[in-house]
Order: sequence, then C-alpha cells, then structure tokens
Amino acid sequence: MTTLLATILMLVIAAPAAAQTWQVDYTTRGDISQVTQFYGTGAWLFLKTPTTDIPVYLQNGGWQYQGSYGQVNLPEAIPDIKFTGSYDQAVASLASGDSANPEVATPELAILGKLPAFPDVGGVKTALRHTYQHATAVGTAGLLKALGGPVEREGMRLHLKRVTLHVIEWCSGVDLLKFLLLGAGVLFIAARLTPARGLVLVAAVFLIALEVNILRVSATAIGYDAWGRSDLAWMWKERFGWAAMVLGSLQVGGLAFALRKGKP
Amino acid sequence: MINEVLIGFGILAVLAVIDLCIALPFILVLR
Repeated sequence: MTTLLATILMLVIAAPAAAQTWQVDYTTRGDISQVTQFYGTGAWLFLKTPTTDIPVYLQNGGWQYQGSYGQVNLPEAIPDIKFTGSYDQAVASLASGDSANPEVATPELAILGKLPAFPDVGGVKTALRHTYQHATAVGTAGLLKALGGPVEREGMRLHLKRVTLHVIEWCSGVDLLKFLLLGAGVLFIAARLTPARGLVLVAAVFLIALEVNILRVSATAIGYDAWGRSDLAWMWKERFGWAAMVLGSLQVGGLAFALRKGKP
Repeated sequence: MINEVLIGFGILAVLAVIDLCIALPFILVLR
C-alpha cells in the first residue's frame, strides 16, 4: 500500500517534468542519421547527435534549422516526426490557418529556454504561463489597436491585416520572467537591498516581464504584418526578442539601483 | 534593404519609446 502511494506520489510529482520533454517517435531518413535523440522545451526541439545538439525551431508548423541569426530550412533529410503531448497541440495550432492569412507565432528566444526549469509545484507554473499568455494576447491587441493597427482578437488569436498572430503558450514571456527574476536575485544581493525592498523588486519584475513581452509580441506582430510570413520577419522577431530582454534588464537594473541602501 | 532596416529599426524605436513612457512615471516617483 505504501509502495503504491509512493508510486502515485512520484508519478504526480514527475508529471509536469515529463511534459517538459516530449517523447518523439521518428523514423530517420537522409543524413540526419546521426540524430540519436530528440528533446525540447518551449517551441524548440533539439536534435541530439553524438557531437552536437542541433536546435530546431518550430515555426508555422514547419521545422527549421536555426543558425545564429539567419535560418536555413532543413533539407529533405528531416525525419518524419510524430509528436505526443503538448507538441501535438502546438503543431496542430500552428499548422492551421489559410495561406492568404497565414498564422504566425512569436515564441521566446531559444536561449531563454536553456535556463533551468523550475518544478511546477501545484500547477503554479502552468497557471502563470497561461495567465501571461492571456495577458500578452489582451495587451498586444490593446497596444496594436492604440497604435492604430487593424486588429481583432479572438481568444489567443489576433487577426491582423496580413497574418493571424497566435499567442501560443511559448509566447507568454515566462522564460523572460525567469531570466529577470534570476537577475533580480543577483541584484538583490549585489545592491544589498532590504528584504522589503527585495520584495518590491520581485513584484515589479512580474510586471516588467509582462510589459516587455507585450512590447516584443507587438513589435513582432507589426513586423509580420509588414513583411508577411517570411525569414525577414522571423529574423526581426529574434531581434525584438533581444531588445525586449535588454529593455527588461535595464528596467530591473534601474529599479534595483533606485532601491539600493542609503536611499530614503 | 534600406526599407527593411527603416521598418525594423522604426518598430524598435517605437518599442523603446513606449517602454520609456511606461517606465518614466516609476523613475520619477522613485527619484
């Protein structure tokens, strides 16, 4: 009985972690035979070979190899991939949409996905991700409307002039939030903040992350609307991602500076 | 090419200005 309970408990604890790594069945053809394994988080899939891990970015239902700033479409050699779990949903949602008004998504920078994953205790992480996803969709729609763009929000989808922007889970900004929280932690120690001021900083980080993510998604949406679904728009999406990271970091840094000891 | 750079950096500039508009009140209050 105890063993059974322990097993159930372990399964419950392990479940969120398991959702982070997708089991992928595939049959290899072509010269990616070196690929021994797939793993992934967010909108990223890594093709593991004995010598290197090739990051593959899920975009618009297709797989693309991502170089530093450019991107190269994977050749024919891409293996047949069957997804399970959340990836299925991600692929299904991204593959939909017609070609006249293609669907695009704005997942976060891949590098942010490399940060250590926090355990999803009590589903808090999932809830936070969904809250941020929703807030980003609403905020982006509001901002684009304020900027005078024709935008219509339908749940997590924003219908723009040329494209439909789908604010998927991986656009939510929680990876950026994690990055900024880690930064705030370092600044808390470095600036020798009092615990109360540390709390103010942490609370502000939640708002800052959401704000810069809305800006990032909005900027990317404007780019996609200007250039359509293209490599160019994707390249700028990455740049806006970096810009959002810098803006967020500046704000957190500035706030920590303002809250430091000796200040009233 | 120039067009692309103009649009891209134009969007970036708008992004930065909006960010400043949001952050400025906080900076002023904290000062």
